This record gives sequence, C-alpha cells and structure tokens, in this order.
Amino acid sequence: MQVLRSMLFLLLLLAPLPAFAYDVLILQSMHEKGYEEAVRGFRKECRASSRMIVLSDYADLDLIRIVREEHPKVIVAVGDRALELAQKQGETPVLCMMALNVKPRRSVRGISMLFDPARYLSLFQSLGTERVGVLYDPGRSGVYVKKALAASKGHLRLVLREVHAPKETPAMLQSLRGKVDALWMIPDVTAVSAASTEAYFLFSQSERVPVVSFADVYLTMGAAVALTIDRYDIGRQLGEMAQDLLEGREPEEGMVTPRRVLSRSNDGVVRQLKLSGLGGH
Amino acid sequence: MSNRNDLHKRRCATMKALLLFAQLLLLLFAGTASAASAGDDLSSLELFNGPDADVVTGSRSPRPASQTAENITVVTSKEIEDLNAHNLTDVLYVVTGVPIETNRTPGTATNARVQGANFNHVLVLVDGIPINNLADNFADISSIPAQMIERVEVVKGAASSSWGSALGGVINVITKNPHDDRRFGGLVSGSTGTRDTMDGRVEASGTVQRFGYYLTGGKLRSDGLLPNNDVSLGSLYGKLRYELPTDGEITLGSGFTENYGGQVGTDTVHVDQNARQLISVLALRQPLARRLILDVSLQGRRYSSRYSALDATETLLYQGRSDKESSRGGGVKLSWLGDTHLLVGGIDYDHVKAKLNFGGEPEEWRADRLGAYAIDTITLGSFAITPSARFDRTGSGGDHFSPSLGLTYALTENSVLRAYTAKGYSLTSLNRSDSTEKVWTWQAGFETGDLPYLWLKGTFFRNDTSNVQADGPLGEKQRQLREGVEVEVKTLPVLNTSLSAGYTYVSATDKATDAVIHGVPMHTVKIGVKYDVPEQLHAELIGNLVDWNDPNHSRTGGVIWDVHLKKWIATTDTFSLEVFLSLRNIFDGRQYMDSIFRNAGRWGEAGVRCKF
Repeated sequence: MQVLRSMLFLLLLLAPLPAFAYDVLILQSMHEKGYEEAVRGFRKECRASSRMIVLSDYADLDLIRIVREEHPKVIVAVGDRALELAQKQGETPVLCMMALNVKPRRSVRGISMLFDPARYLSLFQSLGTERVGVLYDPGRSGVYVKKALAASKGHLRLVLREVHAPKETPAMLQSLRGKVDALWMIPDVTAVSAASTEAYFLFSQSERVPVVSFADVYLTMGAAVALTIDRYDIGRQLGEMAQDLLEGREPEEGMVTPRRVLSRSNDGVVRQLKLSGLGGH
Repeated sequence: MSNRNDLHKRRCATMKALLLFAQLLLLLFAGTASAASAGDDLSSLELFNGPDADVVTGSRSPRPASQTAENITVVTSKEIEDLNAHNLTDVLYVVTGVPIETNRTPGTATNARVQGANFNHVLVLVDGIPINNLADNFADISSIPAQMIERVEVVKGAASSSWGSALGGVINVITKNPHDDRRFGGLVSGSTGTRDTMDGRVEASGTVQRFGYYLTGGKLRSDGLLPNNDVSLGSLYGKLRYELPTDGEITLGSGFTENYGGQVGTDTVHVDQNARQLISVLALRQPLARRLILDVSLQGRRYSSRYSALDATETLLYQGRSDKESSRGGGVKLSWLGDTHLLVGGIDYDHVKAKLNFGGEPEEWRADRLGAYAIDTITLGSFAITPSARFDRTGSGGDHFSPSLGLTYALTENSVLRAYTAKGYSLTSLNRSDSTEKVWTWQAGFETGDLPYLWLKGTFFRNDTSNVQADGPLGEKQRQLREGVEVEVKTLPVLNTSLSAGYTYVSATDKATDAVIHGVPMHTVKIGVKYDVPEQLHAELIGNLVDWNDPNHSRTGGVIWDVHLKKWIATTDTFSLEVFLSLRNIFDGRQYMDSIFRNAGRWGEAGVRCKF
C-alpha cells in the first residue's frame, strides 16, 4: 500500500501540468487556417491564460457544464457554430470573431467580418462610378445595406436588388443591365454562391463594369478590386477587447468593424476596363 | 366508473383532434420544405476562401472530460427528444446508476434510485423547487413532462452541502428558456400507440426585444398497459423572462400537472391515485459588480393527492388517504469569481405545511426550514479543490451540518482524476422527528477522453448510511453500507453509429450483521446503440437490465430492449417535420422489483412532430 501511495505521488509529480485555472475559453468551430490566424492575432494581444476547444474535435460537447466547472472569465467564439453554442450559455461574457451567418445577441461583443460601408463607397467614388449595383438577401444583409444606403446619399446611387435564394442571382443581375457602372459584391451567402459567382463576372465582361468584392479569391475569377479582411488583425482587435474586459474596462458595445483593410486589384481587369484611381485603400 | 369512462372518451376525442390538427399542419407545410441547411461555418468559409476552403480534420473524441469532483451525468434536450420520452421517467431510464423502480404505463407514479440509495434519499428539483412530497419524501418523476425539459443533471452521492436534504443524490431538472433568436417558434406533436396511449403536445417560444416567453402544454393518456393502470396526465408550463437594462434578468416560471388513473389492479383490489401539483418561481439574476452576481428567488409549491384502495368493481372503498401540501420560500445567493476562487454563498428559506388524512383521521404539520451554505472552488494549476458546507435548521428533523470536500487533478487536458467526500442527510418524513437518515459518502474516480475513439469514466463509491428505518417507522434503525463501482463508456460515431454502455455494481449490507440488504439493485446495465444522420434519420437501441437482488419478490429476466426511430420528412431553416416510432420491451421481457408493480410488456407507439 505504501509503495502504491508513493508511486501515485511520483506519478502526480511527474505528470504534465496543464493549467486549468484559465481566464479565456477560446471556442473555435473547426480547424481552419483563417480561424487559426485570427486566434494567433488574439493571443498576440491578449496574454491572459486560455484554454482552446475546437468543436469539431468532439462528437458531443456540453458547454454549459464546461463553463460551470471551469468558470472562465470570458468566452471567445471563433466561427459561426462556436458563436451559436457560446450564446446558449448565459453565464459568461461572449466575444466573437469570424462569424458571418449567426446573428450575435445584444449582449455579445466582437469584431464583424464586414467593413464599414464607407470604405467601399470611397473606393467607388475614386473609380468615378455613379451607379453601383448591389444584390443582397434582406434577411441576411438588410441592416448592412441600409447603412450603406444612408452613407451613399449625395455621393453615389446604389441600385439594389433583393434575392431570397441563390438561384435568383443571375436573373437579378440581368435586371441591372444598362443601369449600373459597377457591381458591389457583398458577403451574403444567398447573393454570392458557388452557383452564381460566374454570373457576376459574365455581367462584368458584357457590360464592361468592374466588380468590387470582399475576398481575394474573386480576383482570379474576374473581380477588379477586393477589399479584404486581415484575419490576424481581427484577432488582435478582439484581443484588445478581451484584455479590456478582463481588466474591468468596458469594451465597445456590439459588433465593431475591422480596422485594417487589405486592398488588392486584378491588374488585367483594371487595364481591360481602363479603371483609374486605384490607390490609397 | 362510468364517469371515468366518459371522461376517457372525451379525452380520446381531444387527443384525436390534436393529432388531426398536427397532420393538417404537416400537409400545409410539406410542400414548402426543402433540404437546405444554411448558417454554418462552411458556407461562410466558402464565401471568403472559395470552394476549396482549407479545413483540417483534427483528432476526435466523444466528449471532453468533466472537471467536477462529483459524479454528475447530464442528459440534454436533444437526447431527450431522440428517446421520444414522455416524462422524466423515460429520461432517467437511460442514465447509468439510476434504476427506475416501477416502469409501467407512462405517467404512472414512479420513483428513481441513485446508485442503490433509496427513493426517499434522492432530491428531485424542477428549476430549484423540490418536488419530493413532505409525507414520505417521495418524488413522482412521471409527473414531469419531457417536453419542458432543457437538461437533467444527476448528481450521484450525497449533495447535502449544496442542497440540504439529499443523502443519495440530486436529480436537477432545468426547464427550457425562451428561444432567443426568434420572435415566435413552436412545436406541435402527437403520438398514438398500444392501448390508446396518446401523447399530444404544443409549445411556443420566442423573444421580442427584452421580453421572452416559453409556453407548453400537453396531455398524456392511456387505457393502461397493465390491469388498472390507466393514465390521464395533463400539464401546462410557462416561463416569462425580461432582460433588465442593467444586464440582469427577471424570470417568472409556473407549471401545473394533474394526473389521475389506476396504479395497481389485482383480482380483488384496485388502487387509484389522483394528484395535482402547482409549482411557481420568480427569480432575479443581477450582476452587482465585476464578477459578482446576485440571485434572488421566491418559490412555491402546492400539491394534493388522493389514494383509494377499492374493490375490483371500484364501487366499494376499502381505504382512502389524502395529502395536501404546500411550501413557500425563497433564496438569496451571491457568486464571486476571483482569479483562483469561485465563491458561492447563500441562504434558503422554506415554510412547509402538510395535511394528511388517513382513514378519516386528519393531521397537520408545519415547519420552517432555513439553510445557509458556502461553496468555494479553488483552482491551482491542475488541481481544483472544492470545500463546501451547509447548515440546515429543518424545523422537523433537527439541525444538520453537512460539509463536503472535492478534489480534481487534471492529468492532461482531457483526463481527470477526482475524489469527493461528503456528509449528508435526508428527511424521509415531515411527520416523524426521528425520520432523518444520514450518510458519509466517499467517491474516487477518473475520466478520460484521451483514448482513441473512446470516452471512459469510472467511479468507486462507498456510502455509509445510518439511522435507516428499513422496516418502517416502528422498525429498528439500521446502519447500512452501500459500496460499489460504476463504469461508463461512449464511442465516437463510426459510419454514423456510436455505442454507449454503463454498468453499476452495488453491494448493500447491514453493517451490524453483514447481512445482504435485498431490494437494492446489485447489477444495473445500460446499453445504447445510436445511428444518427443529422436531419435525416436517427435510430437508437436501448438495453436496460436491473437485478434488484430480492429473490422472493423481484425478477431480472434479461435485458429489456427498446428501439426509437426518428425520420425527418422535411426541413428548412425554420421548419421541420419528423415522424417517430418507438417499440418498447421488444422481446416482452419481465423485469421488476415487486410483482405487484411488474413492468409493462411489449408495446409501441408512433407519432409526428412539427417544429416551426
């Protein structure tokens, strides 16, 4: 018995000591490079102790129980599923990033995946466009488009088309023929889908109007310019927010727009459409 | 008797109307359904990264190890729905270490045991309100409809340092909250089965700005799967929530159940029971300062029941007993989360009153109960230490001090060792001052999710119970030792199929004589096989074996197998239509503690469920 006790004691001493007293629970939907880049940025800025749980690593995860037993001071949700789950527990404050499709609740703070519309509007102005076509699903992007509409008044005209299913996109694009000088592709999974992206660039070629997008991937398909998010900086921005919260300062309410914009253009398309004024974004 | 038949006919008509309504809804919605499923990470990743999003598959585990010192099992609302459960009895039926004492027609009065502890040692709470009756500490788990349950947490072993009278464990039922993301959502469900066993339910839930609501109602009825075992259980439950501008919230919840039917029928005697229960709670949760939260609640319960022992024609009353109870009280709790401490302290108060009428001799009891508790969880690296204590002035069964100490050690991020010891008590009756039974519990165990494809948990327990009156109020007081082991295993899904198994061994002896105590389940086995394709098909096979170890009364008779199927007919973001089917006791096995309360034979039911 004495031997057993000694062995157990030695085992405890030799065993690795993962820290379970931690302040931040990082809840990530799945293993994905973009998410991991954002988490790296978060950790750079917020040095608090943390535990990371990737939801796709578990068949069944009871977050309510984890929160109650490990009592983190803040939950950082990375991705839609993580945000959805984090919102179901009501005990611990939730910060979020990299979530597009799940609507954050009033009490949730975080960094949005959408830039301030003014960033795009000033780009359109510099391109000299007056009429900008936008396809959107009111259920997903209604609030964002409303904000863009308010900001565009007096500067340029947004020509809006509502879509309620991905298959409606090509027809709605056709309805913009001769009515717009540019297309603004917004991150809306109804308006932009694998089945409909080609229609944007066919429209761009036939109407000779540029497409301004939100991700680099569309540049190779035929977009003229993309204003894209910097995932690492979004992580840093959320890290500052978490640090504020942990130190008793109230961070900004609600979802904050990303502060850093990466602007890239497709030179071939720019030359072909004879676009000017692409600089300084 | 004819009145009861008329009543049954009227209720059957209501149930049939409800089923018809559900079918009409299905027809209305069926045309609009599609298999679309949006709103997940993959669609947003595809949007930003293109169709070749770089998603890496990590190593998988069934679940993370729990970091608590106590042995706790949780059943979630999804698991409850997959079981096609009617009430709390069906939910607890699958929990390892929880044998159900009588498993008959759904809705029949039933109680649960925890790791060999008697039914009157187990505290059953619904949103913090105890539903154990005052007369003999019996909690009828069948009176809690499954539809309103969000999750059930079963604490195995003495939990008096947190909850007071809870010698053998706690079954903590947490009801559903208003749906946060929608203004209105709901459910209509209906099923029908053997012996006109029907279950109809409706549910509505939503949040409008700061105001949330959750409402549900249902009716369960059956002609009885066993002689004189008919059931008529109606229920209503509602919860209103208001989010305060100060980050706090106020919740008002109230539930009513009315259950009447036959309990037992022999050639000469029929025993019937009518019971009504109303529970209400008004709760405030308010952060007072950084990491300091105040919880205040007012709660009440009214309960009445009537037992009648009649002749087989139900015209001659042999014996009657009525019980009217009420409790009113509340609690205040403060929680503070520091850098290494989580400190919780509070006070509970309850004024309880019981009026018993046994054979025309009414008696009344009252008591004021006050409890004060403090729980500290100290986290130091891989260690978490939880000392806690509670002092109770019961007003009827003496004063009790219940300390406990828990320790966990995280071997890795997903493996934990745990140990727990606690002193506990249970008031087994309000009307006897010497009815308090006491326990010292010791538990040690481990849990790991580090093994490939497996989650494994093992617990050794030893419950030294004193002052037990096994032979009734006039019997000799015993000291009983109940010790044993519990093992639970779950696997990852492979080809959409996962397995789970739980085994509990209990050795129960009289400490003075070493004699084996009969009627305490020696072996309990729970087996589960699940096939699950989300939003398409769910199939579950459940095996249950309880060896009550009472050769003169009980029967083990092999594993009782149930199968539950659920098929999605149509789903959209805001609508789903499912059909479900349950076949219980497939091989018509016999397994019971006492032949008077023998289990139901093979029976089945099928239904539809529509969520919108």
